[in-house]
Amino acid sequence: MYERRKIPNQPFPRIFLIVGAAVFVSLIAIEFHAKRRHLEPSRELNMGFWQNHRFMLDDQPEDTTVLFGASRMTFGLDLKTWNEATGETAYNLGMHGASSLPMLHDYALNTEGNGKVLCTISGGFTFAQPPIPFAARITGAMKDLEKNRYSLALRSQHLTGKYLQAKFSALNPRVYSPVELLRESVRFSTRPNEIAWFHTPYSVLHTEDNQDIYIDDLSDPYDMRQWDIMHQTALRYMERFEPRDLEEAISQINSDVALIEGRGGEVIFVRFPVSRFFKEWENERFPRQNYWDKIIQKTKCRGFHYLDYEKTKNLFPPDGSHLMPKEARIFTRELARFVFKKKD
Amino acid sequence: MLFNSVLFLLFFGWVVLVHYSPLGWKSKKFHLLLASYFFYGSWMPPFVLLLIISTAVGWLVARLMHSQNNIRIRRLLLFVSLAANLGILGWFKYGTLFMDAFAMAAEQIGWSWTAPQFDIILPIGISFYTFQTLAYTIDVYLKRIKPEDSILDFALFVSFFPQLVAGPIVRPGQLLPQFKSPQKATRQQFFWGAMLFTWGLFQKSVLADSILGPSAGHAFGMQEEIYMFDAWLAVFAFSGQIFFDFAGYSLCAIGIALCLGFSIPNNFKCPYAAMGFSDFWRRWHVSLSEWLRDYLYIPLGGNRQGKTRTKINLMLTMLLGGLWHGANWRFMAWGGIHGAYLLVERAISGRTEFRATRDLGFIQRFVGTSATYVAICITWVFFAAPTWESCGLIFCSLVGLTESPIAVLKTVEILMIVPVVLGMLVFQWLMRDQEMESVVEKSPTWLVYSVFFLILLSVVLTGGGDSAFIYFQF
Repeated sequence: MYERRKIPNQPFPRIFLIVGAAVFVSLIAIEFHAKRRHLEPSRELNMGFWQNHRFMLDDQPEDTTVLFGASRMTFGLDLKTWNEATGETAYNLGMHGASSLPMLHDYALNTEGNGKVLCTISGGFTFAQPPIPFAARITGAMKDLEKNRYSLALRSQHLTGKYLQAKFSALNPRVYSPVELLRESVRFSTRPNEIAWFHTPYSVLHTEDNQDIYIDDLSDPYDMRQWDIMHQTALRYMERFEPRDLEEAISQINSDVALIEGRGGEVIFVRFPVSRFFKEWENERFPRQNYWDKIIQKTKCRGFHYLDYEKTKNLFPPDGSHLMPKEARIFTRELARFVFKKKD
Repeated sequence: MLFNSVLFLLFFGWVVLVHYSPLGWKSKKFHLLLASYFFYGSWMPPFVLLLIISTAVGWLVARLMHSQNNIRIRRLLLFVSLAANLGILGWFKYGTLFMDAFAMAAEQIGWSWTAPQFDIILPIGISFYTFQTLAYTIDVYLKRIKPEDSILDFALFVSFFPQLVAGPIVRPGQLLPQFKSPQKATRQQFFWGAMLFTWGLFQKSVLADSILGPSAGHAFGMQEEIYMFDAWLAVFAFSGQIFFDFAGYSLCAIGIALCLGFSIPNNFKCPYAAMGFSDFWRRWHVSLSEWLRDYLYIPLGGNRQGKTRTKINLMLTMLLGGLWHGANWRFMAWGGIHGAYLLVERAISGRTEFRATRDLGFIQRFVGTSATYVAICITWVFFAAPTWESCGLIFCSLVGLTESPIAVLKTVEILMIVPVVLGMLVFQWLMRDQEMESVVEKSPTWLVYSVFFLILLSVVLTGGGDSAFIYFQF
């Protein structure tokens, strides 16, 4: 009843071996090319990466300082500076577009952590309702954590990422993927009424310890425009959904804080600098007195708001939301000083 | 385990090593079974139990059925098998949907009932191996085949890893006989299999995930009115994405099986070159279409019980075929529209299909094929849109019923979608009545070298990301 598949008459073994060798040589050439252009390897920040990173938190000492938040945390807190300033290694669990609140809830319930927990409060993302795809992504990843804990398929992504993607620039799809090359090299003017959040320019590296680093100063107006369109799209999308009820969120935070403090830990809220249209948008929808001040007052946690400190109040993220490496280092030093109450 | 992952390459390397070792055939089959369980369990180990239950029930029931002459007992046994397999499928896949629907219906009649919230995780590929097991049981019940003596062969038939999680759904007669004697690929078969696998990966990673997927995903996920141009392009992009994703997987499965010396039938035969909807269903997901025809449409009576009954049977088959794709009423709507298309086609043609394509002129063929493609693309809206609201918005955008539409596609995306979709359509048009094997055989060797180099390099440089194949969810 079954038919043997027909095999075309071509010298496939030879084709396969010669092409395989040619691809291997091409990869080496691309790697050399990347090194000459000082293009660093970069990890891809996807849910697989984040979930693996979360699993590895369970292997960290219980008193490890943990960082929760969205991209402002992955861009704005410079881990190297933090480690130098505090003498300890912080563990960054930030995820683009994610709310820190489900992360805090997970930490309170599913770990024995008793270290310092730095949680960003960022308006739109922090209080996003699950129907918003950004929020759904992180809550989905949280929900799948237990399911994926024993998933070899997922766990192996960590190893291949660590030993291949994090080592070889040629494997950074943002640089050498033919499709990305095309996107990067062909520049067109924006279409009228364009709302599109990809493609963002190749301006960022993502490190193995979950940090985003701008490698571009965003001085190119074309690149800047692409970032702006993407961010404005995100804001426009969020406007369609009512934010999470603040009282309910605070009540949840309080129970999480109680659990963490009961184990000897401490929760500290952090407000990263914003500028341009992000600042206007967040000030309008999430005014400080109604959100930040209320959270600090009702949770009795410490909070670091960038506007309250001389060295941070004028930091200006050029894209509106994410600090450049130099500013990230300034912000991180100030935050570390606040958290550990060190004197100047 | 994704085909486009390093873990899979390591796993497959190990499987090939053992398969071509001097071990006996029985040991190799046992190893293939363990490898298949490992492959499946690498997502979620406990779900291997479902495979084992499905295997045990299918094997035992078929043997008991064969030893019985009493029709009632045979029916009872068939019922037990159907209940076990469809029960598992129903619980894991449709439990939440049906409970929510029941709660909603109860509310309508004034009875307040809240559906219990079970956190049900859908086992990957459950619909595929359930249908494969059911086909075996029904064939034994109908005495089309004899029950399999070897539980090892049967277990391998249910869980053979290349096509376990996303098809093709193979019939007992297509796979079981291949387990009876040692299978070993020749060098030529092995490397052709490896090339098919690479070509499948290219379709998935580069064409579906990298070029078409982001554009389609953005347009359908935006949930706003978009320009008519963008809406059509997004629909066409999704038509390409789902084709390359699923056909890519099938090709990978065929290639992997071939590397081990097994033959798996084609699952796609240039579906977008179809002329009419019955032709489409002979070309799209062939193994499912044939399964539905043989195990649902014909047992319902097929076209043997009058025109009205034929229409009902056809519609029921398509509705259930739609629901097979997922626990969502939008999939059922998708199936229903395809059912309606088939009914209209029958009404127009007055027969079961259009005239043979080769009897038509170029213009007629072109118009017929294009119209079929566009009509099919419209149904993809139900597949791609995440909610009913976004379905509505996309349909309004498709016909220009919008007040303040936005542009969701960047110019560079448009310049990528158009050639890829057009290329896909032209390729399928040209390959409509040809087999890829014949075309490759006729091609100059330098061209085979060049194309293979480009696709292999693109696959490596594009990377796998973490996006699963769309059809895994089914």
